[in-house]
Amino acid sequence: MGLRALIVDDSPVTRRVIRRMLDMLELPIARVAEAGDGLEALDRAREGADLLITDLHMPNLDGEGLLDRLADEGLLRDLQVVVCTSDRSHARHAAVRARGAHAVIVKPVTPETLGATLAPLAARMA
Amino acid sequence: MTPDAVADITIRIFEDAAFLFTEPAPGPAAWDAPPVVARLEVSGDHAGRMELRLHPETARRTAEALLLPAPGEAEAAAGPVTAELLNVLAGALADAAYGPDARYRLVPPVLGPFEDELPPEAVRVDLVTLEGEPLSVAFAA
Repeated sequence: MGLRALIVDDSPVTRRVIRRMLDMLELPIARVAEAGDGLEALDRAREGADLLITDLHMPNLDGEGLLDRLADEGLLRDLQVVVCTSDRSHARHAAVRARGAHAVIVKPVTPETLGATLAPLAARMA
Repeated sequence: MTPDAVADITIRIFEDAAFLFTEPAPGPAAWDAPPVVARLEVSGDHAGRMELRLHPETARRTAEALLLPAPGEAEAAAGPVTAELLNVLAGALADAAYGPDARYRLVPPVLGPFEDELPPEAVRVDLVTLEGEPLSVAFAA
């Protein structure tokens, strides 16, 4: 049984680019869902997800808020979280790691970077 | 930041993000069509503004390369692709201008046209694509 991935970004362009990269990478991903902000992502995560790839700066509920809400609901325990952001602030990267993110990728995301980050996480969940 | 620094970062980021190859323009940009314009604001400890102008053909071609859209879909994606390119570029420019320990927030970009101009003290850079189309970046840090 493959993994359930959830891509969260307010940019439909970024969601589509990451989805294309996931299609290219040879990872055991069975289903990919998308959300345009943290609130929508929370709903999708409640339905079930194994791998969350999220932006930080989004309307309604940002990436840090999403991590907090996932933790409050006990959903982070079984979820691997990768933050993809154009924000290069060390303080913000440390903050999201402290909130439970397993990795931070600085945009522009490339297939090589995404694959190298996701492969060990996918292996851990397999 | 100097214009050369802004140009260097822009050239590198656009190559990595979208295989969009550019070089410094020999002179001011000459637009033969209304550009696709996106702006982004920085808030927090630093209040900055950035603007990206792409030739519509550059934006359309980049959308095709990034998204593999259905026929006719690339024109509609030109604006969102321009906005996302600015978003990615903004992170690199803000990091270079303010440093990795600064506390700031990149507000999601918005698409023009705009009635006002960025302040005169903004650093402005004119580049040209391999296809000869102008591309400009402005950064008021």
